[in-house]
Amino acid sequence: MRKFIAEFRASWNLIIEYRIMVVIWMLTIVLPLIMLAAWLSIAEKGPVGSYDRMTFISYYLAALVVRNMTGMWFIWEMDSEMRLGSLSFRLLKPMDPLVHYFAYACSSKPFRVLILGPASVIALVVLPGLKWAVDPLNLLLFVTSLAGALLILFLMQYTIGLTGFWITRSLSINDAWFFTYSLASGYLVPLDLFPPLVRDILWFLPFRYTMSFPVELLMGRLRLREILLGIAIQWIWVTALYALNRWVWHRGLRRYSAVGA
Amino acid sequence: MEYRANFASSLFLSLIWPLWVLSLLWVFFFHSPDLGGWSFYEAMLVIGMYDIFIGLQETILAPNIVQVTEHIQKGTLDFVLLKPANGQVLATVTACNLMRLTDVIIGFGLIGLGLYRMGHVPTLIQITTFAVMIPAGMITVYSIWLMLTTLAFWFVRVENFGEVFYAFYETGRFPVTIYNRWLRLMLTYIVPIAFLTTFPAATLLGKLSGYFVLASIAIAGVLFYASSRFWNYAIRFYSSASS
Repeated sequence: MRKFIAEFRASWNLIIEYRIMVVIWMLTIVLPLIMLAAWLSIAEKGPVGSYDRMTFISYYLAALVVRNMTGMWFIWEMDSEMRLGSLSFRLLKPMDPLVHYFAYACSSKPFRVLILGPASVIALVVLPGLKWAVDPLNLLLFVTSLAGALLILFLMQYTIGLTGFWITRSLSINDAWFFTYSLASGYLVPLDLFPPLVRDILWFLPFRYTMSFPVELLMGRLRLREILLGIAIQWIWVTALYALNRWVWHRGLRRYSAVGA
Repeated sequence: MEYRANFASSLFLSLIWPLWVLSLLWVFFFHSPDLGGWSFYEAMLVIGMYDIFIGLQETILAPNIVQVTEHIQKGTLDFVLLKPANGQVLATVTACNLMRLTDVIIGFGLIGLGLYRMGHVPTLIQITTFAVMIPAGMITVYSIWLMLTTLAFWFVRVENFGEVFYAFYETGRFPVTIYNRWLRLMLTYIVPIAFLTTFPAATLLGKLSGYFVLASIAIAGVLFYASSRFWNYAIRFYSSASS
C-alpha cells in the first residue's frame, strides 16, 4: 500500500507539471459532444425513443464525466518503456509493474475531480432540467460504479499493454479496442438506441459496465435492484479480467526472460 | 517483413475507422430519415471528405510540423534556414508519410460509393468547383498549422495546440448543418472546418452557392498570407535572439 502511495505521489507531481496537457486532454474529448449535436438536431422533430433533448444532454454530459474519471491512457507509457527497454529496470524492482501503472493511471484522477466537480455543479445550476439523480445515496452508488468501471478499463488496457511482450504493435490492438469500446460501451451512442438484438448482445460484454451502466445510474434510470446487480456484474468482470491479466503476465515474463533481457 | 506488416495493419486501421463512423451514421438513420437535412449517402460524402483531409494532413503536414518543432526545440533551424532555398518551404514541406495516403484513397472511395448509390453524376461545374475547393482547403489547413507551429518559437510544448486543432477538426465528420446557428457560424468563419468537409461535399451535390466557393479561395489566400508573415516575423525574432 505504501508503495502505491509513493508511486502515486511521484506521478501526481508529474501531472501537476503537465496540467496543461491534462486540461487539453480533457478538451479533446470532443466526439461525444459532436454525437450530442447530431442527436439534438434529430430530436428537434420529436424524442428518439425515451430520449428527448434534455435526456440526450444529460446522457452525454454524464458520459464525459465517466470517461474522464475512468479513462486510461497509460498504454503509451507502457509501449515506450517496453521499446526503450526500461521495462527490464522495472522488473528488477521488488514491485509488480501493475502497481506502478495503476498508481500512474489514478494519479490524474484527483485533478480531474477538481475540475469536474465544480463543472458538474455549474451544469446542474445552468440546466435546471438536467436529468441527473444527485441524492446522496445515488451519488454514493455512482462513485462505487465508477470504481468498478475504472478497474475494468485499467485491467483491459494493462493486459493489452502486456501483449507488447510478444508483438510490437500493442498500440494497434488498443486502437481496435477503442473502436469496440466507443461503440459497445455507450460512449458514443446510448445503448438503448441500438436495435434490440445488438443491445442484448452488448449486455453480456464488459463494455457496458464501463460507461452505460454508470451513466444510466447517474441519470436515475435504474432501479436499486438493477444498480446492485450491475455493480455485482462489474466485480465479476474485474475478477475475470484480473485472472486473465495474471495469466498473460506470467506467460509474458517467461517469454521475456527466455528472449534474454 | 515488418514493414509489410505495418502497412497491412495501417490499411486495416484505415478501413475500420470509416466503418466506425458509418456505423454511427447508420444508428442516426435508424431513427431519422435525414441528418441535418442530408440523406445517408449525402452524409457519406462528408465522411469521405473528412478522410481525404485527414489523410492529406497526416501524409504531408503532420510529419513536417513535428520536424519543424524539433528543429526549433533543438536549435537546428539555422541549418535549414541557411540553405539557399526558401526557408519556409524547406522547413515545412519536405517530410512525407506515404502510409496515410490510404485514408485519402478510402475517402475518395466513400465519395464514389455515395454518388453511385444516389445515382448522381456530378456535372462539369460541380467537379471543377470541387477540384478547386480541395487545394484551397489544404492551403487553409497548412496556414493554420503553420501559425500554430510558429508559436513553438515562444511556447515549447506546442504539440498540444495541435491536439486542440484535431478536436475542432472532429466536428467535420458530419454535415455542419447539425450544429446550432452560433456553432455553425463559428465553424464556418472562425475555425473554417465547414470549408474542409461539408462544403466540398455540398458542391459536388450542387448544394453550394458560388459565394462559398469564392469564399474558400479567399480564406485560403488570406490565411496563407497571414501565416507567412507570422512565420517570417518569428524567424527574424529567432535569428536576432540566437546570434
